[in-house]
Amino acid sequence: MKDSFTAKAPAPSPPATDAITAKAPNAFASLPLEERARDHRPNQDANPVMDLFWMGVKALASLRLTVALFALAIVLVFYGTWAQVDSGIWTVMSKYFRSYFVMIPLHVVLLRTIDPVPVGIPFPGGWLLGGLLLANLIAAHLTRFRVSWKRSGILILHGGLILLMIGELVTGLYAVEGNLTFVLGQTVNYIDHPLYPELAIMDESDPKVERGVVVPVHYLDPDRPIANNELLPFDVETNQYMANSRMLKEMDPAGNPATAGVGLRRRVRDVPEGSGTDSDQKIDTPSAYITLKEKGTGRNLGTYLVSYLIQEPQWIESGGKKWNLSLRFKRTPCEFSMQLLKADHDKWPGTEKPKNYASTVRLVDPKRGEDREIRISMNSPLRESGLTFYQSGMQDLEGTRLSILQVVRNPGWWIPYASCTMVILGMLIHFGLNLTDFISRKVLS
Amino acid sequence: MKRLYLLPWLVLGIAVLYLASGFMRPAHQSKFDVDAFAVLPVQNGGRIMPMDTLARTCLIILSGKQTFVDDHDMDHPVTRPAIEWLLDVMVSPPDEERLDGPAHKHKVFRIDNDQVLAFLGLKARPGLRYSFAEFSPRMLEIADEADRIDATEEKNRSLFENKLFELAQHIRLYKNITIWADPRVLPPLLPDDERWMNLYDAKLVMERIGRAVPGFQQYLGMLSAYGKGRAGEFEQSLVGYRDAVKQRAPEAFPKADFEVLFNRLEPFYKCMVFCVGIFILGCLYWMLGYGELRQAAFYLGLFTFLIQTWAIIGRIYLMGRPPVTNIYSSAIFIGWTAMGLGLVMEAIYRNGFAVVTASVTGFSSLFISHMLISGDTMEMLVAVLDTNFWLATHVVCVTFGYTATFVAGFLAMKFVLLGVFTRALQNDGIATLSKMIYGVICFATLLSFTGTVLGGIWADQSWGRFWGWDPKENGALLIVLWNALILHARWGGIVKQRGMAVLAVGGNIVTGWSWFGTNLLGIGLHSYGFMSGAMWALIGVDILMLGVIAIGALIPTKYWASYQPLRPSALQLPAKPKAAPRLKPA
Repeated sequence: MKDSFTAKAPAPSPPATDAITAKAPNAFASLPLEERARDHRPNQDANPVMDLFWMGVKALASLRLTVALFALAIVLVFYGTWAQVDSGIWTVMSKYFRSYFVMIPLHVVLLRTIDPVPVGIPFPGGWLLGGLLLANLIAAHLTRFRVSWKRSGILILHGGLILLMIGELVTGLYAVEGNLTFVLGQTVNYIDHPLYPELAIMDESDPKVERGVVVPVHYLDPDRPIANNELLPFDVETNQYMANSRMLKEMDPAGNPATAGVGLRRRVRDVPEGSGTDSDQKIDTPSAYITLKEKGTGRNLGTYLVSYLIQEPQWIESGGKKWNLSLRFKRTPCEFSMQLLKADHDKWPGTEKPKNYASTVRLVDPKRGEDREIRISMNSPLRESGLTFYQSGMQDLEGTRLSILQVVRNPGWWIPYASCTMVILGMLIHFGLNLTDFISRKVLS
Repeated sequence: MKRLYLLPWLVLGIAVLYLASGFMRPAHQSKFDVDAFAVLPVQNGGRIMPMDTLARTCLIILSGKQTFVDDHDMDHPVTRPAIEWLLDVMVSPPDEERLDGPAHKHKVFRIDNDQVLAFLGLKARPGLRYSFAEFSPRMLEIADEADRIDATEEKNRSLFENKLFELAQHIRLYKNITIWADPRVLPPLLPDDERWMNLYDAKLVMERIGRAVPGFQQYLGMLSAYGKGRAGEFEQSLVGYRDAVKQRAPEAFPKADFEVLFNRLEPFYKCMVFCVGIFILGCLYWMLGYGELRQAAFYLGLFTFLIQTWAIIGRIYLMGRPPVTNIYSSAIFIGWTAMGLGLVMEAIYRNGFAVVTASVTGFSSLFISHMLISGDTMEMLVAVLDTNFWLATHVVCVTFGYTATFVAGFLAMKFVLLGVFTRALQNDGIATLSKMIYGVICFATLLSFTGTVLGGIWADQSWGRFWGWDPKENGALLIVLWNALILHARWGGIVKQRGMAVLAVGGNIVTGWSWFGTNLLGIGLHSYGFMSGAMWALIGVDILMLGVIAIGALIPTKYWASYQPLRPSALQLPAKPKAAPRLKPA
């Protein structure tokens, strides 16, 4: 079929450029109808700045650029998938898709046929490619497209795509994800953020109020001890930080770095961070060996093991106070509290295959006078005060059961819905018009 | 050639006969009424299935086949159906000391790793299938080794460890049948209980309630009669057992009957054969030019499509689920939709291209599905997939998108290969085929985008993240981007007919990656498990596609046979085709 929507020749012909500066009316008259229509838009007065601007816009509107950007995006997405064999999905997302440039490691480029080497190939990242595609699309509409019935599908479709890209931007910038983890009977009024572990040094003398200091783990650097910090009750030196770790089943005292606390009885080992291609998407469980020293005197208070895997408190006395030392995830306090009443883990009869997970929780919000029971299960989340709670996982512990809810706040959650509806509608109209055109011609012939 | 008008009907007749051959009795006949046994419903893997499916599934897991060779009588080995193997296993004693059970000598365990064979002290032999009796002396060592491997992380296992662990699991499956832990043969006594009882559960229940569970004695009697070779007694007990089950679970029987019929007909396997037939007829049509050949191919295509439709509806009825629930069903679904799409295009263009493309796409995907059978194809779904709404919308739509991209890719392969090497595309062939490719790519873009978006909505509904950049999502996105690239390159005049065809062949690589490659990443290139075969197949297909792309992209059109100017003689060379019958009024 002859393309009813064939774009104009990509390279602007010299007369057309002239036409923009409105100095060659003859040439203008010889332009095809559509070219003429769009060239009405720039102002007729000769303004060199505006000329340059429109020339830039026209260059940016090129379909060749669109195709090139698509090709680059395909390469980026492909390697962004391969990179997930080595790294976690969040690492890859920030390095590849939410960045302007990315260094793709050579062994990833060669699809892991060689061993990792410290060489990378620079490549445009997701923000850059997305931004350029957006600019390209907007420029194309400023210069090339004319509003008409025939083009209505494309207009809606491209409008939807612009909205979709903005939505991904909003999500990337503003969405917050966290976890709410509790065992049966436990009441929780905070949300964990597993991507942001922190060292918590807490004074728990008053059970009602939590008072203390939290140190984000990126400060736990073996090369940079934290000394004489006015917030901290003691100096902290980091012996080793492990972004992901496992508890050893049996204690191995040989070469144990810990000299005090739980570390004398338990030991952990470093494991690689969870990768995006793992079939079980578990959260990384960080640990660290840290040495505490008295402020000013530098007296050694001992080397401690702090770990997300350790639940029991570790008390350290310093400056006349007792401090509880722990490595936990960053917490956001909530105005409501949630208690896990029941955790169902159905399996298909006679098998170990999970059929359904469901948590029955009691939600108490004193501010709004709310107190009710809710059942949250797979594929049926709870939406409450701007947050959404999803049943994410469940684990059987000794004698009890642990339920993990994924908690999300995303102000742009509705954007994909609206934008995708537009894109699909646009495609239906556009391809539909073509199809009817084609069929009517087929019938006529 | 007057009689040629009968050809389409002749072809159809042969196809019907071939399909009906599923009802034929095997040459070997058991003296027991195994057919009645085959339709008995049991619970296994979380669902109700007939004994026949259980037998076939287990045998496929162990040996990769649905039949086995009984070489008890060395001089006259006979091929016997899975159901007889299952009966033999059920009456074989469970302990390793007594190897006189009939099933222990059946060579059904496929062991293809030479290290595992060495570990068991066995020698490689043609077929690589071994009997339980052959490796049972090493049972303790196998168990110890399996325990050790179980403690190692899956990622760090070697090929030998994976294979040995697999064998240990196969042995467990086998032994579970010999000790009567599997399948669950007696329906629950309480109405709201979903869990059927095996013989142990039933015994415990009987001790607790102090009376017999109906069917228990009859079931035991049936097995004991089989073990002793008494056909009459077997039948009698079977009827008693069946009636007892029927009283408490009458709804299980119609489905079990239907499933046995489905198993016997092997509709998807036969459709694969039909696809070969369509391909041959289509190619003959191009060579000889008789319209009847194209008509025969078209009719056979319609028949195949009908059988596929019936079979897919049958699976929906049996599972109570939308058609695509796992990678096996995605393959048969692609086969079905490719056939449908091809027939619609054939009805429009009537040039044989579409129907042959449909047969190639259909055959490939059905063949892939056949290779993917590694157990029950109607297995239960893990929790997150347990939603009919999203399975029916997102999964179906994405799979449609795969089909359309594949069909465009195969049409484009035809464009390149026929264009370069033959004169078949002279006249308006190039333009027609190009239009077809273009139309299908438009369709593919729409479907793959919609499918991907629906997946995003599902993800947003179930874990609050519309887009997570995970491998499977990225795979779907690649298809959308690739199709969008082709369309924009065409609209921008960057590519024309030839360029678009070359790009469309690339669509096969992209879709193959999205469908299979991302799954292979998941279990890691560290593990050398069963999917590694699929990986090599994928690489092979990709190399083939790259070859076609190279031919299409590197050879200038002036050397393409189909771009040569028509020679006067060429106009007369093929026997003048009779006007193809019109399928709709002109």
